[in-house]
Amino acid sequence: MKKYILLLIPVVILQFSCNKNLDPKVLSSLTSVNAFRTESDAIAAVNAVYARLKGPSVGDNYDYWTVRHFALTDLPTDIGNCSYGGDPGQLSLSQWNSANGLLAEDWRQIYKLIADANSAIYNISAMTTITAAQKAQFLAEAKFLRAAAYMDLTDAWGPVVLATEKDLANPNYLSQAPVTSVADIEALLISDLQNSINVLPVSYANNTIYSSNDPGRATKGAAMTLLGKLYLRQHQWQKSADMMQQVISAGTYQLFPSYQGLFLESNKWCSENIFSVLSDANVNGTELLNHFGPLVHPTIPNRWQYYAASWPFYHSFADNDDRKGEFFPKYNGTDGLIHEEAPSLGATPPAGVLYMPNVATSKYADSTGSVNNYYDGHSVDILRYADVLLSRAEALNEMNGPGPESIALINQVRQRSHATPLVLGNYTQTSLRLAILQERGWEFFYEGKRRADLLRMGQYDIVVNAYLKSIGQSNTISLPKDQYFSYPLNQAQLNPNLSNSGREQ
Amino acid sequence: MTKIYKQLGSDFRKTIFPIMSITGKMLLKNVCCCLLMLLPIIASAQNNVITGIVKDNKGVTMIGATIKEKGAPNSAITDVNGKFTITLKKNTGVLIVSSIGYITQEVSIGSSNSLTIVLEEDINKLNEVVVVGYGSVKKSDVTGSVSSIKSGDLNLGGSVSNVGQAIQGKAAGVLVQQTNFAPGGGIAITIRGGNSINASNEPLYVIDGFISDYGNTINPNDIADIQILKDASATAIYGSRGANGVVLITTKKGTPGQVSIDADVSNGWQHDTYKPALLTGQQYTDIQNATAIEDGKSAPYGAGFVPANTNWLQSAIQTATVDNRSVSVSSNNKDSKIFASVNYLNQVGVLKNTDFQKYSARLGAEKNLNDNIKLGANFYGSSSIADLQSYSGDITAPIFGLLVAPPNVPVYKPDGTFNIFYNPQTGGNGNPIYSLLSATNNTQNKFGNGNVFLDYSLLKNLTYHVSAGAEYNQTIAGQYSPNNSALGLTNPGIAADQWYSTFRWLVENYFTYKFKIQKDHDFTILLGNSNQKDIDQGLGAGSQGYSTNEFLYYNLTAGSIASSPTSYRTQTTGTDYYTRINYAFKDKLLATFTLRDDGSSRFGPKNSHGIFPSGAIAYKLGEDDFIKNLNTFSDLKVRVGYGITGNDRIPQANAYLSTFSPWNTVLAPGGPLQVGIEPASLPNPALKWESTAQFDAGLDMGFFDGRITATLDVYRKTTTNLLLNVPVGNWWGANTEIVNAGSVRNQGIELGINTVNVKSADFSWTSSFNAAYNIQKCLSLAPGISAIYSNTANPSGTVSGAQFTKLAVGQELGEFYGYKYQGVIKTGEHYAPEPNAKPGDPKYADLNGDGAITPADQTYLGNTNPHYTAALGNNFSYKGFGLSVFFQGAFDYELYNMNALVLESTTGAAALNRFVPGVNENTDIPREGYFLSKYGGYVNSRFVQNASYVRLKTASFSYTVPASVFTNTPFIKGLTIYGEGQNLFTFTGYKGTDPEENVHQGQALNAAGGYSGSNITGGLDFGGFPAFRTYIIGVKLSVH
Repeated sequence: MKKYILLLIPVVILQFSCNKNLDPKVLSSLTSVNAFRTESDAIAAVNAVYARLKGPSVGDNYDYWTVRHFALTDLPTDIGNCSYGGDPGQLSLSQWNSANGLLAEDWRQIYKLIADANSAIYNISAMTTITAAQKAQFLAEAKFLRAAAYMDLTDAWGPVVLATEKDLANPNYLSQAPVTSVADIEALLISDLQNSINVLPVSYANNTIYSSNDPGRATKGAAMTLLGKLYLRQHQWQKSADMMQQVISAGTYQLFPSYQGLFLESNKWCSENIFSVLSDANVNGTELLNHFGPLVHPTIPNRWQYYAASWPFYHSFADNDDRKGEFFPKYNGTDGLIHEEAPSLGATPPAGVLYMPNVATSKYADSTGSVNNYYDGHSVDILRYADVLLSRAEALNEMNGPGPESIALINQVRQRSHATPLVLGNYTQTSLRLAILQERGWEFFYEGKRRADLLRMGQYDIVVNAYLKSIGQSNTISLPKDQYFSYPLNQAQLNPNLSNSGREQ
Repeated sequence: MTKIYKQLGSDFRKTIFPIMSITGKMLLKNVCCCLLMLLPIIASAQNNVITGIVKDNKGVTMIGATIKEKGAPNSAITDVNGKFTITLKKNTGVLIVSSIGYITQEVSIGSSNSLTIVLEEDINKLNEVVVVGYGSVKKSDVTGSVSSIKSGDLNLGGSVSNVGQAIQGKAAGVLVQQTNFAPGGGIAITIRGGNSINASNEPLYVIDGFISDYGNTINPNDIADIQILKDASATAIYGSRGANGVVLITTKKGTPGQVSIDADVSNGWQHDTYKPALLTGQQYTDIQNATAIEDGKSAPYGAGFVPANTNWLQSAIQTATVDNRSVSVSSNNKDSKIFASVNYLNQVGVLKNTDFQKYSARLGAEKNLNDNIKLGANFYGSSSIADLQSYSGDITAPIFGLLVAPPNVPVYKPDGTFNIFYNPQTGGNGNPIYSLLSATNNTQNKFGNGNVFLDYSLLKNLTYHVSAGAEYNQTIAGQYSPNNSALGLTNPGIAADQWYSTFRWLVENYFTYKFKIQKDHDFTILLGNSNQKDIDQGLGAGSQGYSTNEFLYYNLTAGSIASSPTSYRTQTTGTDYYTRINYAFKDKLLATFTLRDDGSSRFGPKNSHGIFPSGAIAYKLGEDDFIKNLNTFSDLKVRVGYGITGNDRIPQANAYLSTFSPWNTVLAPGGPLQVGIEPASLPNPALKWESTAQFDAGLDMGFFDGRITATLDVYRKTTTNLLLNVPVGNWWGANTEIVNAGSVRNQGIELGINTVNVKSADFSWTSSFNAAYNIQKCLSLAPGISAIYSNTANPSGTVSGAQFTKLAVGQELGEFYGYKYQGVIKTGEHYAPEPNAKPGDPKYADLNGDGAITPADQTYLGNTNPHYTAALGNNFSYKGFGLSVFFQGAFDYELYNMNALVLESTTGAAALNRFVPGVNENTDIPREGYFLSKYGGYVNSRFVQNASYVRLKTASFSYTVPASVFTNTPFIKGLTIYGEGQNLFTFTGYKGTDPEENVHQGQALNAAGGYSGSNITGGLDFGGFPAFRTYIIGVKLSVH
């Protein structure tokens, strides 16, 4: 009998040791179960969309607008030059294909911002713990950011998969999504931006929804400028000119007095900025200085001269143009060699000299910045007032040919840099178009505008092929094949709707 | 040592004397043999007292043999001199003499009071009992496919620091691959081919009944034997954890009847075996200038440049030592067993500033409290520290920096300080030797596990087993780049520190009930329950900007800029039930059925439970007359089994939920950093286990009275519901979603043969051979997913990784995928698919014939899985001399030799033979490097190289001093001196680091205790730790 009583012992132990509950304990992750409960959850979701304009807060910060995007917008043009082999070198010589890693990376980063925006829009829309005003504000910010990203995405790839918050209701992640035409995508962007123009404040000073004045957030002016640029891309000249005029008339923005001063790391935000990616060398640094800074330079040490300018572009500036001062054409390197341009292609340097294949720019590498830090705090101006002026000038010229207003708008920008003003009588509609294109190159080099400008004005193949020939390259690009980049190989492989037929080099 | 021994002896006396006084008749059962030697016990010369001596067939006296009087309860054990004394109770006149590994004998006493008994070695070992998971069975009754490895057969000593290295080549179908050769470096074990694409393919480790996540890391010297369960009928008792096979480790408990102290001391030397052909400084200078001009650029080195001549790799290599120190103490008698050991391993790397030190200790004990209750416990602890273990197969590995450093630059400046220079290959200023020597990269590990168990005979034939155990693993990894190093210069001094730990508790309860129906039907029924909880947590922090290098990473507050700290904590639980029925009919027909129901919180609520059944039948044909009459087989058993097992090791604990993680930003000049939260992973509420169905058929054969034994198995296993990180369109904000989709099949054949070739008093020769073939095929992937790709590491600081493996339906995992290289385009040659190519550009095959080289021209170039593996061991002994030679090989596979690819365009001697227009056109090497080519790219057939090899893995020679030398020394029992070589010769056509090097392999345990990578990314030889050869001399001393 005693033995049978002993049988109870294991029964008691069994009872004691059972895990009856297999529900997960999520101790350190926010999940669908515990996110989007409060106002601060909503703000955090919106903040993450802004954060996706660049890399993580610390560590390898070279995503999207904080470096890599320039591989698509400036390297494959007459402005950018990269002497490093592989992906950037191929883009620099306009020799990309779908396997190019930088194409894949920018595609992924832009879509990550869009996906974050979609998640924020989807989840915030369903929230009941925030006010209607808060909800409208948060959604308008997310939609502005999403529109900016789709602009970049369609600039690079044209028709793409249009993902919106509607896809999140009942997602099928493995479906082979259709490709949406640029026109249909633009229709959504126009409606989103018009909404944002109506909802967003002119500035965040004394804002009722945010307690701090954060100039990095999207404003009414930013939404108007972006919509104006979208109209410009559509060749809707009147709408664009009107939108840009609204921005000008609002009087919120003005040109910063000095071109050089505009890009100093210390000048993160000024009256010319409409929408910028802000950063901070210590808590949210970028790697702009690393990638743009000159090689073995005595005062800006340990930089890579990765995204540099071509010598022909450097020589295109007039000597009296302040903007020519934004480069490092000659210096005594810490390697003991004089760094300078070769007198001719393939020349052998004499002892003590190193011929640089391209010229570094100080736009994101000024000597007053974080030259002794690994990370720097430069802001990148995605939308600034000079663009508004030149865009209106372009729209006016396209509608009416050269006129006093368009020349005056261009000269506003030129005179800030002490460049010789244009004279109205010297220009036809066509020659002014080319002058505006060149002006935009000088003004916005390495600001992510060049390739879209060349394409919009129909000059992409002409300008870039002339440049490639001038640096001894035999290959050429041709339109319409090269109007859009190849879809990244891994994406095309998993979705046959992303066909590279006709766009693979 | 003597002192330790004496203390031990006195303790034994204290505990044992009271027992003796109470139960005098139990005296001989209870007292361990050493005490017999110490205690003045004199057997009285009565008629019913028998004394004797037991020897083996070589005439060596046997310690710990059991002598029983037939039909009576009394027994005795032989002492250190092989002597015994037994008092007869029933005077049946017959003694039963037995010892493990020997044939049991019945001895008639006759008229003599003093017997000499010779036991014959039991060669076929079929009566051995083997552990099979939640119990044990006689080896002859095993119905599944099980490989057994005894401690004596393990690869031990020298740089062997884990279980994987110890069993490499020792069991058919068990593939052991080294992810790199760094001291304490990673190891990957795959049994019968990999089942899974993304989840772990590592087997389950069970140490003395405790399921351990770190079983591979325990000290291999503590292992008594290993059973590797390979087929589903054997592993299904482990249900959702059994799919990759199970490694059951039983730790030592001492030799029966003995108290002994064993010491093993060895010292070794390791020599680098990787010696790539490199350019001299002058050659490099000339080539750099020439290629720049060939490429239309300016020559980088002007006329006045005076090149140095540096071999960076050789400057970083050293002849390194490896020292092993082991001491164990054991005692084993009828009622109690105890084993304690300590081990110290100190391996210095052949690459400077690398090393691995490990201390470990083990205590195992069992005690029969009475006839019904046995209590036992096992504890193991280890502490290790490894320096510089970053051989992840990319450009951050120090080997990469050494390989691409310009040889025309000196290591030191004339003033003796390090020469810091700009290296375009790495994209920064530095000096690879200084980087190697100045960087601190420590990984400190503290590990402990322990379990206690109780076996309780509740009723006749009904036993209850309960065990409870816990395991804790803590790793502290820290890195510091000093403020005067290349990396550390950018922000003076960079420090980072990561702490992470895993904790597990596990309680197992099971009942075992044995009964007979009539007399021919034997049943054993097991019924059990298991409960488990795992808690993983980690913390990481870092800072930059140090005024001093004194702190390394120990004082993060001293840095001026703090990095964002990270931390995490996850908890998973599981509750499982299992049962097994063993049935035997007349001990000829055997059947085993198992069923397990596992519940785990790792999977969504809909699929938190999984059912895993299996069944196997075996028939001992050897017992049938018609087989006996063939006079061929001394033993023959046929086995057939089928079962379903699972794999629950998904990469994250909460993979089925969508998670959010921070992505912060500043939105105003000067900050502050504002918190942002974004989706981090895509949810899949339907996530469930991977499931593997396996069929196995086997033959166990014995010939010539068991002098030859052979095991032949064929198997086919199909894994379905693969946990697949299916690529999704980036528009979802993720690269992949984890789903259950697709299936992979592995099938193969395994053969193991053990032979006793010669056995005489002085000379013996035994051999063991095993060979296996496995072929894998992907049967399906997720709907709409035609293929899954993986990328190489970046081949330089500015060139991205490119696709190099492709998994598609009908293919194996790890197929290389790229362009077919067809040679160099000659001067004047026009190759239409590459219209803009220059002379000297690589020519790739236009496989789709569309007149252009595009990614559509890629094809399968080779496979990274060794399809055939084989090993052959021979052991010779002549008197006191022993010689053991062990060959091991793997065949029919390729590696991607990315070192060759990088060297060719940087510092390798291959650059001398590059294409130069009009000068050197008759060559296979393109004009300058690979990556400036617009067409194709660098993943091409030229660097896919056959890696088949045969390796003389170990050869050892030993001399054991004859026992007669120690007859007058009371304590020394045995002394063996040995010398051994590891990795002595390799026969291979492979030209890379080493045919076993596989740095980019997925599924190695990563630092956080999880599994990283994926199983389709293997086969990359790039920047890995150099392989080496080891010579060891050592001494083994036994004391009692």
